[in-house]
Amino acid sequence: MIVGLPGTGIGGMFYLLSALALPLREAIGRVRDRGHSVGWRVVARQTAIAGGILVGIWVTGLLLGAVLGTVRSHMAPGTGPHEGNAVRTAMLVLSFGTLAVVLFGVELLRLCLHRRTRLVTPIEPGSAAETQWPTERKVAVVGGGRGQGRGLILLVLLEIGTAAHPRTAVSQHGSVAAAGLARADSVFAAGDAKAAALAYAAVLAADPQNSRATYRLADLRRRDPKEALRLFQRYVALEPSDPWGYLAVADMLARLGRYHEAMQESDTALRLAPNERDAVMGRARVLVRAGRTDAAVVAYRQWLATHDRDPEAWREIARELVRAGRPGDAAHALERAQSQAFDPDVARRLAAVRAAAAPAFTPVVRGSRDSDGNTTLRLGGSAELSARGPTRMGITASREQVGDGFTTTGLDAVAVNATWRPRASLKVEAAAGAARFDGAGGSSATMVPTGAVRARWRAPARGPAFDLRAERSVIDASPLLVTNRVVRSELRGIVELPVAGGLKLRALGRAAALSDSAEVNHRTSFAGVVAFAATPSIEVSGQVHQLRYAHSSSAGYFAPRFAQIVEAGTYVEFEAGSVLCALDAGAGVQRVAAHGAHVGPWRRALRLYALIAVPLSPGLDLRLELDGEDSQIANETVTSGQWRYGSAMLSLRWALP
Amino acid sequence: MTVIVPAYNEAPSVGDTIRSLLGQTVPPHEIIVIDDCSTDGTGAVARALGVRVVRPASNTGSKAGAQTFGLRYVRTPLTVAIDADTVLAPDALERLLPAFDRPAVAAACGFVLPQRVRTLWERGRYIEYLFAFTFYKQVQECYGKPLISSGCFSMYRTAQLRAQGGWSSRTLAEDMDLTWSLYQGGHEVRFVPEAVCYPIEPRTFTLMATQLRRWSHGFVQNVKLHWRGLLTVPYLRSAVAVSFWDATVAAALYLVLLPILALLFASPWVLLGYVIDAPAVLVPVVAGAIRRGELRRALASVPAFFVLRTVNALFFLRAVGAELLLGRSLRVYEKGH
Repeated sequence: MIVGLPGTGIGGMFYLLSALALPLREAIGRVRDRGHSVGWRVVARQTAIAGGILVGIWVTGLLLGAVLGTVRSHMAPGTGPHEGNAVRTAMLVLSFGTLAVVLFGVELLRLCLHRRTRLVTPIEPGSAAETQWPTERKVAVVGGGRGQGRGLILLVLLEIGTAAHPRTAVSQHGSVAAAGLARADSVFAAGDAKAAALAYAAVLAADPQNSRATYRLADLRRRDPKEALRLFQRYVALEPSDPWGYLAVADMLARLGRYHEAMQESDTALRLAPNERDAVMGRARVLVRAGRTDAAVVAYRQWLATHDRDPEAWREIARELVRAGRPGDAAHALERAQSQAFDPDVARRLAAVRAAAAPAFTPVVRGSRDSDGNTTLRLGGSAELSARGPTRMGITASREQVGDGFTTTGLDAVAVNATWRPRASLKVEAAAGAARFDGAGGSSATMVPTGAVRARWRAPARGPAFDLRAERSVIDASPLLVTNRVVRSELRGIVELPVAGGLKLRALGRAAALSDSAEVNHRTSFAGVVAFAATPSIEVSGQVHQLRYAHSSSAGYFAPRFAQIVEAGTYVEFEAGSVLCALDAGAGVQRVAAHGAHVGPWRRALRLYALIAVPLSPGLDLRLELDGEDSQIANETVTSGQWRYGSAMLSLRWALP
Repeated sequence: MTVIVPAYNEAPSVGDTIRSLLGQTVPPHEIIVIDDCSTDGTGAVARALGVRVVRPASNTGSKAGAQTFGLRYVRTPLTVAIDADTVLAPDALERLLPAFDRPAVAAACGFVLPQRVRTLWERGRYIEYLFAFTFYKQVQECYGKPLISSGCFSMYRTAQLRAQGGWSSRTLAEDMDLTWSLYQGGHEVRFVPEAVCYPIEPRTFTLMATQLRRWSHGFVQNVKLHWRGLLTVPYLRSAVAVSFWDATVAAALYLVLLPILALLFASPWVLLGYVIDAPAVLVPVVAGAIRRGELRRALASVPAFFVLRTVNALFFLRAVGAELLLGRSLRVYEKGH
């Protein structure tokens, strides 16, 4: 087969230059003692042919010039014969230029496609790979460009230097790639991931289309999701019918937070292998990473409907059911997993989940003291019924003593609670009860109905969130407040919008009516928060709060006309062993304007909340909460204009077997 | 060495092929004719000449299929593949053998010249071969990278051939596919101009068109298949690139630009561009012809070369359009001659 336009085209020019360069190549080859040599006789013959062709070209040009000159002089007497020279020169330059561009393009393409893989190839002294680096540098020099003609000559010289170079050739051959692949596989099987990655990279340097090496290398680089994604995508391009490639791409995309693309890749994998476990489970796992807990549960359930003897699937759905607030169902799933393949770690998880689902009793003791000398002590407890499905019921009761060093009073509270979590993203809590104020100063005890409804919704995949609450409760921070039967009825809403990455905006609005036996006061407050979640358990924020009271009050709470708070806050949650710690702290400034007075100066405002949860044994959890404020106007229970406050609460949740 | 001869309805020519093999100065260990379910008695002709004839259960569909089928019967370190319409110069095998003294050599091919030089198409092919095998292929050999180990006559190291899985049917140019695979496998390929073979070339346009269609599509298919791997093979990458350029852009310019310029300038002189390189072509042709004592035949055949070259350009351009632009890959192997 003869390809192209034999004789003409840039092919002719290429072989002409190649032939003219043969003596040089042969000389270099003999100096370097290369194995392949065609001998001076052949070289001389080919060079002579090339010389003959040059003479032929020259004669052709001469004849062409003469013909054109003659034609021209006949048609337009007086014009010179020089146009023939111009045409010949233009043709020559065009041919050389085109050849140079094509050859340069090939070298550029080679550098683009093969350089990256070579960069990761281990280079041994004197190895074939080592000899390739100077080649690339030479091409880079050519790329620097001092004219196409010169570049062309350099390219041809480069080819002379590299063509048929045995060491270079050996580095590129497929059987070496095959042998390299076998070596890489054995290193991989031996568990040496670092050496295996180098070995697979070497295989790819020799054979960039080796799909097996591509997949393995990607697999070994999962810790670098971007690089792994690039390699897995390349694998998919090489093996477009392999669903596992799409699954791996989906996994990497999910790790990078590109959930929509990840789902598309998962769907492709599922289309290619609809009944394949890895495809179904892979899709479910992408849903998990995307935070789409409900969809993930559905995906796992679909698989388990026909493959109920898959302990891994049971374990994974159990984890999602816990996230969805369904410990009862999670316990059932883990029991199924354990019945098929016992795992001690899973046994511990099962015990914890059973405890979370079991009926429980939680005694609580809470005490507080503020800078005005008010103290409170609450003793109480709650009982939860067994969690079945999305609903959980319970009851709370407490007795609280409130004193200020001179007066002591108290109140009792009881409420029935219900929690309904139909979906992972939606949680509704409701409570209904009553508070009974002790009689004071000859008056009889008073009963006040209380209650609360709260709905929380958070979109999957860390989307926007809403928190709405309606509440009626008593204010019990001081004996005066209890005596005056101050009751707060409040509507509260929080909207959270993710912006980009971990950045989110939060807006809070509250409207409350504070009523007592003598009057009703109204308070409104707004807040804006810019928060950045560095990780799901670490958040920093900047907050601005503003609140207003309709009028001042003599019922026992501090009701300024206007108050502003600017603070920086942080929330950190971490686990030390099995102990969970959470810290919510804020530091800033605030200013207050009392009714009928000017706005006061900015003063410091500090707050701290800490939680420590210690699991003592399966089903027995100790919980300690600490709260402190140093603030002019921390919250509605502030009893004076300069206020400090501290409280501690200890509870022990005891799950009944 | 073992010679395998794939044959489908080659009764008129396979006898000459076998006789030329039997008359070699270094006779092969065995000659195996793969009768690819011929219907014209090819197997009987071959059997009558005393060679081994093997027959697959059904037609393999391509020369590559038949050759690979035959490879399973080879028990020698070297394998020669020769077309059933090709005859060898008496010393062709002897001339090829030294190429395998170098362990890295996996394939070697010889000089190809048409067996018959009578019609326009045969003459055009004669000049084409004379030019290319005297100049292009020899230069490629000097750089250690002959573009193709010709399918009509080549010798291979059997182990390397088996390692490649024999000849692949994934393209219509199995010889090019194998050669480029061998290069990418780090092996060497040699061109030995002293080892001469004489295939029967298409004598009519219909046969020539069938062959050119197969070759042109095969070339584009191989470029599509191997381009990444070829980038790692020095010199070959450049040779393939310029060939591809000439088969695409240059062919388009050659076929379209020259007539347009002629019309634009209203000058028939522009059409001289079609033969402007005649002196350059003549130099290697004359050099090759003189060595073979065929100068008169060569000079008489030169005009046919320019006709064939134009037709060749048309077919390559069409193949590029079909394979790369329209995505219509030719898959049916049509026997050209």
